[in-house]
Amino acid sequence: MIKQLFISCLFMVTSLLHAQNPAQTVIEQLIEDQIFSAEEEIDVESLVQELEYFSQYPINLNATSAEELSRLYLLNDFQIRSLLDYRKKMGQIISVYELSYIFGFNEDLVIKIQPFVYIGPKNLADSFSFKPELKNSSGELLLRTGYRTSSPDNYDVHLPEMYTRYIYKLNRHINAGILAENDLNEPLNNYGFDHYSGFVEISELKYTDKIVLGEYRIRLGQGLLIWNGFSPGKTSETGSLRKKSPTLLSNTSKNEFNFLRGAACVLKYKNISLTVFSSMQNRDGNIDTVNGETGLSTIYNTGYHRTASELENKNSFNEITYGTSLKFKTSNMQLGLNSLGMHYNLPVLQSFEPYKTKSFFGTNYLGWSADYSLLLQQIQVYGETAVQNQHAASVNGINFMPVSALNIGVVYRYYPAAYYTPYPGAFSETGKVQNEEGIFIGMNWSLPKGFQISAFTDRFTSPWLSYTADGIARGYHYDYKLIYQPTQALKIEIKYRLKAKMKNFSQPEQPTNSLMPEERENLKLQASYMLSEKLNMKTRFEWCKGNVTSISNSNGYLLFQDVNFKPDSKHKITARYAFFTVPDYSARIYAYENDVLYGFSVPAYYGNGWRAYILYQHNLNKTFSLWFKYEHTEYFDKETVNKNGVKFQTILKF
Amino acid sequence: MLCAVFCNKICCKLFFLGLFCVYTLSASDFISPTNARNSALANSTIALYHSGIVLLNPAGIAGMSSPSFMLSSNNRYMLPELNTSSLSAIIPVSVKGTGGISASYFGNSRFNKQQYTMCYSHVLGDRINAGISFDYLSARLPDEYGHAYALLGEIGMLVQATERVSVGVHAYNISNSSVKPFPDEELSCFMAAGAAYTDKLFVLTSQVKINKNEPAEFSAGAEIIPIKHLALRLGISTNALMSYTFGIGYNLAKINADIAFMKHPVLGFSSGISVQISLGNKK
Repeated sequence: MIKQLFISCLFMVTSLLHAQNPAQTVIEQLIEDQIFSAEEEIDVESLVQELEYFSQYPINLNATSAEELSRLYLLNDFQIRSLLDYRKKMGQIISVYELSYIFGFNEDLVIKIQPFVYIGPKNLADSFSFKPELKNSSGELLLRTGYRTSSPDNYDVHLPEMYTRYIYKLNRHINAGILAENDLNEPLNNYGFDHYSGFVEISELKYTDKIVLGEYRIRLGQGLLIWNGFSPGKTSETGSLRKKSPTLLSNTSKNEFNFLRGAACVLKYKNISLTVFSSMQNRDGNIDTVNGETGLSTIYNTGYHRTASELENKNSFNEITYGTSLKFKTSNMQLGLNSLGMHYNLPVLQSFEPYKTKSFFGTNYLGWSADYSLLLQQIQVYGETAVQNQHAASVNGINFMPVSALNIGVVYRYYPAAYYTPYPGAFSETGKVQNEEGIFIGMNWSLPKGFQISAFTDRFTSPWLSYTADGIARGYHYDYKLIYQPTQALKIEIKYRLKAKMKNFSQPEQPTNSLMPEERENLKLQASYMLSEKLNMKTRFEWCKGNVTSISNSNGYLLFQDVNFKPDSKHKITARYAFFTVPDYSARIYAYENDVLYGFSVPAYYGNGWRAYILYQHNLNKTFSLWFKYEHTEYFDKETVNKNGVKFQTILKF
Repeated sequence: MLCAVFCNKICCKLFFLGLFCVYTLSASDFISPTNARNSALANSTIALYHSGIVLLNPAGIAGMSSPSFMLSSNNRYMLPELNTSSLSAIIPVSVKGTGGISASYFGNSRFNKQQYTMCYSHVLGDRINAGISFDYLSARLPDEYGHAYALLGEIGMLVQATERVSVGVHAYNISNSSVKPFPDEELSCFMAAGAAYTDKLFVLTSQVKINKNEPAEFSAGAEIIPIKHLALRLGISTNALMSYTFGIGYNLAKINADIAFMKHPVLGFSSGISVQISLGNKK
């Protein structure tokens, strides 16, 4: 009774929280943070897929586990622990508004996680069966097609992108999925589509936590050996610094390379779990003959098979992957021992380029690692050390949460040039776990009256030569963010970033390259305002200064206006008008765009012109939803061809 | 008068010619009519309601309940050749819709430019105004060059984000029109956004504008009302390195009179004056 009274008081106090932020806002923020930081392309698609999945099928806070909560990328271990402790103490959670009074939580965080969670009944233990459950049984069929004009147009075939996926959940224990996909301008082949994928997953059995047949993702430790799918990089959201994810996940994404194909299972007995996996798949690579030896000169990870040369490299070699992971886990501690082995049917050729002399070559790969994590009252230490090719790589970090409103995180990593992993995921600057040493410090502080400050600094060095630097390359990255949210209806955000790294600079009169810093500086000002429950708007200005080896600066500017209009639960319209003037690619500006469900778009703005898009969503009923998107980019300079694009998607749930 | 004090007639002409070359070659404003309140706040009034002028954000006039007229004139760098004058009228056509027309003139009898603007603004819901505007620009050039013209469109939006904060967005020359028959003579094509904070005794304004091929321009202004009917204004803009502006406004129920002064770091002072007469009670 007392608790219910308390809850009703909470409702009154936090009624403003009804102004729920849609999942898109959270996804946008996560992606934009990552895109600037990442030098290589990050697996945005799987991040979008994972979070969109939880927005469609939210986590029941009364039945969830630490492992499931960790998949949101929004909560740190302190917060997860206090949430679970709270639930244990109170029996169950009655309202999501209770959360803002738990240690480590605040209103802002509750609003962030709200689209992905719900308060449901406690799960009652049920026994495994093949019978469908009325409540939990569901199928989802997705059909998507879209076309975008390309410039320059180098493709022989002009076909729209085609994507179809069916996921069926029989009950809490069994679900399966199949997908087929053809990228934009990929020709159809004898088998129809370019890429197929599928899985069957059985979970929560007595001693078997999960079995996946088909395509799956493996994530071990801190990602030194293997981490399939999205791995958060540099962020001031210090909760994401320690990688945490279930070891085994089925692959529901149309990503064409970052997964394994075969069988995997997680066995569990009390606090100990053992993961065993094996996989065999054909992958893309360029086959070459050097000094009489035929082998692989490059392994491709793009998944595109549009042109004759791309098609020639398709499925050109075979990869066998196997591994194990033994994990001991209590609520405050985790220890793991991991191994990963691989065999290619063709050797990776040894290259004699100076920067590649320490790189992996041959047909067999074997790596070992040990990982740990210890959660004390206010401090958490974690890390992983791996050995491969007689070289050890290590990443270690500390998270510190002295008070509920303040988070501090430090990560130190050391990856030698001779260390290699084919599926890297550990914290790094380049996206590879190789040739890097650095220290990262980040913090996030929620202040009273709606202020929030977050910042990080990262200093790194490549101790050996790299593709872009003929010498030891140093660099730094600073990132500061101030958020002011006086009411739920208005949010102002200022973000400043500066990143510099030494790169080759060739001068005509000099025989060798000299190293010069390449800088990128970026300022973002954004106001988001909610005019009513039906109407949201956002205005953003962004400036980016690109500096090519200290010689010339170029300044790029972007200004856009977003309108989100949701007249009722059936219709939703999102539109943007963006104006940009960016003289060259070094000053490019990325801005996330809303897209069809499970899709994403983060165009790089450069050139001179404007871009607009409109996205319409219609939920006909509980079974049928459709999306339509039209985009247009107009360039002021006559040499650049204007771009158009359309996308259409339907989802059927039954 | 001031011009005569600072430079003699020849010097003044040479300076004017040099300036004029710069003025016509860059993709700058074809003609830049404005009002003195906007000038005194360093052109940062994009997010102000009822700014009383057709020539800024077209959404700014929506919701006005009575007709009003404005006569304004501005002069650049104290040179009589660089005078722009405009006359505009705002006429409410329905409870939610407001129309506006304006005519502006720059130059002299041998070389002059005109701008004719027609705009319509509508109140959407409680807190949004949207506006659209069409401009016909015309230039009469000396003898053999004849006549040049352009037709362009503008769209604008003004939103009451919170009780005191308003946000304005404006896209000018959305079709990227150029001057006919001289296709290389480019016109301004920009998008601007700004916010204003309005209190009983003061108003703060800010704006950022991105013109094609040019660096972004920031401007900010403050208007203080120390005594009833009187407004003191200050502004700063990154246009041409750094420009400072200031001005005074005298506001009665039906008549507003404003003057403004602008200081360019190299070219010196400019000034502006405007008088607005309202025929009914202001909303």
